[in-house]
Amino acid sequence: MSRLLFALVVYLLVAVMVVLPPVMVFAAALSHGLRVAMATLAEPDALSAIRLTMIVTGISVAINTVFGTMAAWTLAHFRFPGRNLLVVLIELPLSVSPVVGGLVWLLVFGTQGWWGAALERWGHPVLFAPPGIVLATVFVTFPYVTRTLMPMLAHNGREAEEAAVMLGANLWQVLWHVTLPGARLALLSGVLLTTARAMGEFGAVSVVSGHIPGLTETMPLHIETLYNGYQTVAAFTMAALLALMAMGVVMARNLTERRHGRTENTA
Amino acid sequence: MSVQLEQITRRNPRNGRPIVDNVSLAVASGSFTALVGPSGAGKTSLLRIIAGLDPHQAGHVSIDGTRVDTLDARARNIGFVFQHYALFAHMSVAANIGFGLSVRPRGQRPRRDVIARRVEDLLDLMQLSGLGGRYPHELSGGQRQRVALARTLATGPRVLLLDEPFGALDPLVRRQIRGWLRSLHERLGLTTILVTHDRQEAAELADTVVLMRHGRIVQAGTPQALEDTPADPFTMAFTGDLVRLGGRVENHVFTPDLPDILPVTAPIAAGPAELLVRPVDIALRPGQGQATAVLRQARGPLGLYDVRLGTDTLQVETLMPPDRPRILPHCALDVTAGRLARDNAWASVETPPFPGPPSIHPTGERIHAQHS
Repeated sequence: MSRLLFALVVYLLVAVMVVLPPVMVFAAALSHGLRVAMATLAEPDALSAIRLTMIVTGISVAINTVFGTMAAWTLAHFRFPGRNLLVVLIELPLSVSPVVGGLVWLLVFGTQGWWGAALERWGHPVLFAPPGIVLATVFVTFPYVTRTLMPMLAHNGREAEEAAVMLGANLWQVLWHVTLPGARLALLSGVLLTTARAMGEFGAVSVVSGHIPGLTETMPLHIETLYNGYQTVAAFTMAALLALMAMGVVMARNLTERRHGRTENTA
Repeated sequence: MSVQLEQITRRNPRNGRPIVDNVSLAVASGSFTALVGPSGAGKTSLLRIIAGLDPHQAGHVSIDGTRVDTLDARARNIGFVFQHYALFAHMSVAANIGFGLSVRPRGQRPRRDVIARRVEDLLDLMQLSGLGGRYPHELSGGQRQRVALARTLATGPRVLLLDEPFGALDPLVRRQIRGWLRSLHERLGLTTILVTHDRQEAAELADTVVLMRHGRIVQAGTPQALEDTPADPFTMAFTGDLVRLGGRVENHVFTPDLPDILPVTAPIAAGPAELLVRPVDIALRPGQGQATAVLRQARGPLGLYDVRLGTDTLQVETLMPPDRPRILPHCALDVTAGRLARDNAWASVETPPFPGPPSIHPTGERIHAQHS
């Protein structure tokens, strides 16, 4: 009886807190019909925001996949002074507010900062331009690949890598043929998590973007601009699109996790 | 290929304590050597040092007389079978076995069909025919074990290192694979070093058994030598069953604390001492004491007797008299085959020059033979 009660409470909570908001978003987006909603997406600024989000996400995910994998591999294989500190630093973006992350870049690349003025004169500004948005996104999404990959590499991979070395494989062959394929599902899971997080990032990007419609507005920023401009349907349509994209990525991740759980620890 | 170890020392990188402590060992080409000892003795560490997987802080590893201390593990051409096989879970059995050949540098890499043929041969050799397309998680423990071995042998190493290769197998499969490994060793002319904590496994497989403890070699020799002439009490306890008898030495005669055990002469100074003897080496002397031996179990010509000595009961395994009596009254125990230990002293003992008939009298009668 009490079990049923608990289940009921959980369902109610999930319905109100998790299911209701996206439903409301979709309802608001479609309040004037599907055609009106789709038309708002065809606006040049909207298209530009979608394009920028995709580009920024793509670059950030690529950077974090490469460096996150290297970090995870290094941390899983070597014991060196300061290793624990490094782990804490890598996890820092999880605990620090994204706005702080954005402000850091502002200090480094802003006109008052270290290199900002020089870059400005050189004609390649970082702040209030796509490179800054990429930097901010990379910072916020840095921990995910490392965190999902590291435990996997530390526990499962060690003996297999040594076996490969004894069979004559060099470092790259070990990495390419043994380590990464062995951890591919964990890696994919981390990449998808990074993707979902990168697409939705608002705080850090907001600080460095400058909110220039058509130029430096990602989807989340554009949603805010539209909403503040009382363009409710457009704002909610963009929000619905972003939510759909995120849900797709999360669903893909769940699928890999389920396969992951099935084939783990089998050899 | 021979393997020589000269004064190898490896320290724990965390606390600097030696894991392997000044170990020297010569492994002859074509021999089968077993490293045995309790867990934490440094067996696996020594194996990993030979392989080049772990560094050593002092000493030299030589293969065929050439020092390989600075040679990369991958360049030593040594085969290593890991305790948990370490198969590549995402590769088929055939890809696992062919891995070593397919990662060779371009000039030395065999053609694809040559690799495939070599894999087929190895599958046959390992009695795994037809399993090349399977994945490791679809195989039984014994099959995985053989895939690991096939993968190691594919590149044609001359030295084979095995780290507790049978630990995860059930006893029946274990026995099978053991015999088969030994014949494989002979057929391929390998030099094999095996790590195990199972003394029987070591004795059954190896020509030379190396007993390790606290990172050092306690004794190395044939299995028989270790059992017959153990270098110290630890070796004796490790290589077989043991009975420990406390007692005292006075005037070079050891008298056990328990009654009805015949005293023995001992070449050590007076004081307390312990006598170690294998149950199978204890002889029953009917008519020389007050103990009663009760047959508990007959094992062929041997009988397992419970002997009541004061408040203690000893188990003795000995040759039964022809009429196989269930009860032997008025016995004493002869422990001449034992060894005496005190601190660093370690000595064999002898029958003292006073009464004691040579063995069980067939009729179990009381007799008083005089020995001089």
